[in-house]
Amino acid sequence: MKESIENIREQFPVLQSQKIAFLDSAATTQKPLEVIESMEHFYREHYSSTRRGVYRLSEATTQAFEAARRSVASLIHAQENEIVFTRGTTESINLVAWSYGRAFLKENDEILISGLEHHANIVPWQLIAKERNAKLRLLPMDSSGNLELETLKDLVKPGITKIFALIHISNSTGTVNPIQEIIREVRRLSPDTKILIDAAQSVSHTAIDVKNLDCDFLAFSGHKMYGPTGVGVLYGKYEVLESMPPWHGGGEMIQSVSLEHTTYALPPARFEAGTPPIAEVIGLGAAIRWMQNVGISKIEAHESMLLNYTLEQLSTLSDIRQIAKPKAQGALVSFVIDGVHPHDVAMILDEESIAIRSGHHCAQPVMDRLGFNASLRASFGVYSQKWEIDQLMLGLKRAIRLFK
Amino acid sequence: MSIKNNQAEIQKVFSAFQNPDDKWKYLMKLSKEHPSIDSSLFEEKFLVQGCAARMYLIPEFKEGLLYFYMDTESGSDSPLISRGLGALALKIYNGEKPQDILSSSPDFFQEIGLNVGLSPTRANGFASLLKQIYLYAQVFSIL
Repeated sequence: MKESIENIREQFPVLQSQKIAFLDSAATTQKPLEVIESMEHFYREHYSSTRRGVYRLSEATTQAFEAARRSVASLIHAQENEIVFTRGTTESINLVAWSYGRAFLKENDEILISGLEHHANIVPWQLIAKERNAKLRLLPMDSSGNLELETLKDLVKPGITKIFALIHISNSTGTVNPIQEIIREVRRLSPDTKILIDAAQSVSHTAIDVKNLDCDFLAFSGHKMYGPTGVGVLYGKYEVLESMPPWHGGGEMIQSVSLEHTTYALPPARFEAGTPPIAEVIGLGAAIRWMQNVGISKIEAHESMLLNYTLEQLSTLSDIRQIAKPKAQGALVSFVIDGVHPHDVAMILDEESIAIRSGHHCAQPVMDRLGFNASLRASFGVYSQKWEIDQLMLGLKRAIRLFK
Repeated sequence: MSIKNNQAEIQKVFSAFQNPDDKWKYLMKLSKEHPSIDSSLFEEKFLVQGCAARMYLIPEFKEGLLYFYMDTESGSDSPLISRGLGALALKIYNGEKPQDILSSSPDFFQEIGLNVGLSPTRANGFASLLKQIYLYAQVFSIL
């Protein structure tokens, strides 16, 4: 049975017990009952380790764990053996930086990132670039929050640009990068450049097909897609994953171990050392099946309606300024009240039971480029409703009266 | 005795508040009236730990009295409420004897209802500021 968007909020226990306008889904989404129950069921009914035991209980856990991997693969149109479970987007990006980067980057090679990145897609590259004496290059962003794509032809150099890491939807401006078009252009300029897409802000909002996109890596987190914290995904093209050395050593990532020599397991096991977050992986699988049951296109349409409503409402207040006006915008709006610090506004909004983010959103270079220290950010999920935006507007009007 | 007088004055102001916005308006007024300090004094060692707004508190011990200079990093562009809270604390403790500060209770702010409506981040920041004031008082009380 398909879910109805209108009644979907009822499935989220936190949104039932807390009478708040929750406008911070870009930070983390609430969890539907089905996800919570899947983890509870695992702990109560068939808790055991995965992959190790030959007894039935452990085999059942292994099956549930691998079913989750199939769910992830089906969501992004990958093969099962291309899905590595990590702790989140940040760890997924670090895995690529420390495994692929350490193995293949040479002195004076270049890593290209964009001016829209979250710190998680900047700092790992800075660290590995420093270690390998490689250079970090920047694909610039204009003052509207769009990447200056005409500069790609000068920045992407065959044989030199080894890695290109790009955010799909910006968590600070909401910019939706035209990744299909960008990947095609980068491939044309330099077929061997490995391309990583940070999909943390997109995978629960829009359909993603890695085969169509032709990226080498895609990274995302469970907790931003109605799943649990502590679990994330790194998709890698199988032949690329196969070429990479392990990052963490331990149990389950080996074929055989002697004191002199270890033969490593094939991907994805090679990158999953130690006991994984089993309950979280099972919860993530449940979240994906839940999302697919609702329908990603329905989620996208609902959030797009909310975005348009918010933009329309915000435009009625002359003191409000969006920090960027990108050509395509995801399910979030970043704005300021002119002359008033976002932290002050967020506090007034908190008094009005509105949960909204204020700060630099872990994207200081983006904020610097746009000329803001901080902003307010309202972001939506499938359970968001118009009344929450109406409540936000009332709160903003109160803040304007108070501070202006 | 003077801290008691300062507290009584503040208490009078707070008890006259009629709606939640009055408190914020008062804190904003305090922030606006509070003099800025030269940013050359913004040294890491004066940073109030645990305060989101990067607040600096600089002590000066003169003729047995403890004076404080406080500001937040971006001056007038900084969050007004945080700066207002800093200014409020100084209204109570600035220019007092370290011993008097130590014998006064920081619970006063709870009692007048300052924390009501304050976000946990702000409340924690304010608690850190008070801790710093009391620490300086402790240090200068043995001089």
